[in-house]
Amino acid sequence: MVADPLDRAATAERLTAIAAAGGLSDQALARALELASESPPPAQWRAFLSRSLLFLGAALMLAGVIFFFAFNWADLGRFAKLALLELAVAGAATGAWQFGRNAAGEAALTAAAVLVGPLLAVYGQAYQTGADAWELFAFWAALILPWVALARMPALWLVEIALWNVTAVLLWQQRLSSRFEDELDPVWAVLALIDGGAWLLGESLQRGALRWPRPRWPLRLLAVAAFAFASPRAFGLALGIGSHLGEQSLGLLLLAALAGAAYFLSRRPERRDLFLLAVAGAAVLAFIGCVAGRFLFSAMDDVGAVLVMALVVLGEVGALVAWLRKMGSTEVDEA
Amino acid sequence: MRPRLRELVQRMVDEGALSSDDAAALQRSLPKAAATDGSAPWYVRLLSAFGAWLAAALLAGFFVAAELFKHGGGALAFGLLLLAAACVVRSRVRNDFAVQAALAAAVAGEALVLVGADDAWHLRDQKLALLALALNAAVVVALADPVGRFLASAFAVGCALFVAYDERWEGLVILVLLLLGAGTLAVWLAPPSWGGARWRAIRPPLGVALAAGFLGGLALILADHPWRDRSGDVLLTAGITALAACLVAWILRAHRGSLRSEAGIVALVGIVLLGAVGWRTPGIVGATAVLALGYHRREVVLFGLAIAAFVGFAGWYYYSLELTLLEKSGVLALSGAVALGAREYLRRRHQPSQQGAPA
Repeated sequence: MVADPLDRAATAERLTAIAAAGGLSDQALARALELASESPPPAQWRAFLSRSLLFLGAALMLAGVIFFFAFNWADLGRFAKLALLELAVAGAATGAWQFGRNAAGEAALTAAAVLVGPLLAVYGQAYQTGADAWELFAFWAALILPWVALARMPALWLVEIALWNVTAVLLWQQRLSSRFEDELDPVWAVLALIDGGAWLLGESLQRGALRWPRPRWPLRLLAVAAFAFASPRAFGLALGIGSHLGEQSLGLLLLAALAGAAYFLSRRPERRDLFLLAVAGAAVLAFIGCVAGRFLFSAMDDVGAVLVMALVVLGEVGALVAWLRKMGSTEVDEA
Repeated sequence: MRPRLRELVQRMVDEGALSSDDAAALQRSLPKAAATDGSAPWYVRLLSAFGAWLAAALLAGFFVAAELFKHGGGALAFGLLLLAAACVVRSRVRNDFAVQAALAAAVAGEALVLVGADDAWHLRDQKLALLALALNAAVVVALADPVGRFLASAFAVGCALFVAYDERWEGLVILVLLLLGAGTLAVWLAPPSWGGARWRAIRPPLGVALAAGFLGGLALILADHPWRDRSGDVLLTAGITALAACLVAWILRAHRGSLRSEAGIVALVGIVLLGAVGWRTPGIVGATAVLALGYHRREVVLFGLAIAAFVGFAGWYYYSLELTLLEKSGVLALSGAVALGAREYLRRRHQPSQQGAPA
């Protein structure tokens, strides 16, 4: 299904192009330009201010609580510290239940989920449990999982996935890395798998009967993270730097899988996400550019290689932009 | 943030700016308009800008490495020729490969001009920066491409900041930052229909570059500069607060309100408080102003830029407070309480029955 051109954003360039094509008179163009960037109505301003203040207030309060416990105030006994944090978690959770499914409720539940971390940290400090940091993050992720699953808040899922990421890194650093040879560092592949898997699971849920999560930015963030973790090893393979061929090959495999998934998900115009295609296209072309650079600089003198490389970059970016424009012409854009 | 064409056409029909026949003609013109429509999402433009910059760096590297020019004069003349050719080509082509090549040639041409001028006339850093500023100001007008105009505007703004910092005179830094802030407001608050087609094409890339330069410059002053005693921060924050107050007045005027209305007084008090509390981090009030400007003009790039800057400046503010962790926790919690209190005031003051009333 080709998107209706009337569903596209009214950008100044688009309106000017319509006027040049005879669709708007000079007077109508002037009015259209005014309307396209008109200030939102007062009710929208109030909603915007309300959400911004809520987000800012909740973030500052949470930071205040975390700083308070990071200070490790000696005058405050361990029971008092634990009681304060438990009260804060319970208060925030009750607040979330009372406020219901609105911005205030979501902020309160996020606060409750975040405060579980300091609670576990203070518990570990008070009773000297000897637990490694990765265990704290793993327990944190496990304890808040029911809230995260029930709330179905994309932002809270991002917190949960970020905790999985941190757990994986710390688990490797504190427990597993000593069992393997020095230069092996497969944790980036695990992170690419976690974030890429979460992205693809989210895509399948959004395209299924649930039509969740909405909006798309959390999925885009996960996809960018997956590409960012997978790409450097693949680039290393292309440039012939680094020593672990297996790790680098795995990086290339992951990059190819992620790029293939982005393309596969966008094959139908009405479900196309140009942002993901741009990220995937940039990663693939960067890999090709690295291969071309390695080949050119080994086969030619440096001066000639620099010139040919400039042409390669021009060709690559020109092709990517042309392809994105072609793909974008049938996408409902979000400008 | 931006309305869809459908909503826009419907509004124009409703208010009589378009007849139903005009609306039908507009719809018929859409396929033809699509062929010349240069709109692209910000990330496509970012890719294009990065590609142009990288290719230009390689091209300029080739010219230097090949030692094609024995004297600076040759590089300068060839650079000017390349730049002029790129501007002419870009105004005539639409093919993406040709556009990309024209952009890279323009940036490489500029680099050659500056390298050549430096070699021929042995310019001091500041004079070279002023030359680059003047050259890029001309490129903004001559190069008919949004990405090229953004790159040129950003380079010109960067040169202005460089000159101010290199002079090591606090008054000049403050003046340049305030001019960048005022320029950002002036460009974005000017009526979108004002000026000719060329100005309308220059306005968005110039406006984004000015805002990025303004916020970037405010970030630069946070670094330790031995020649600064930070006493100018009060003046800078006061100036930015005054600009923010002008913005509030402008937005209120757009909604047929005034600074003397309740909304105006509350907004003004909020802005002044923000400036007073965060006077050592002028970026906080600056980013807040750009955020409001982005929302007011429905500009997603400006909005995103301001959010990123606000988070950075707020983080810096709390980090740099010369307080213990315990005291910082108190300040953070108190700030959070003030923000939540302000939201509660807003909620109570405007119950659902009053929504839609003028601000």
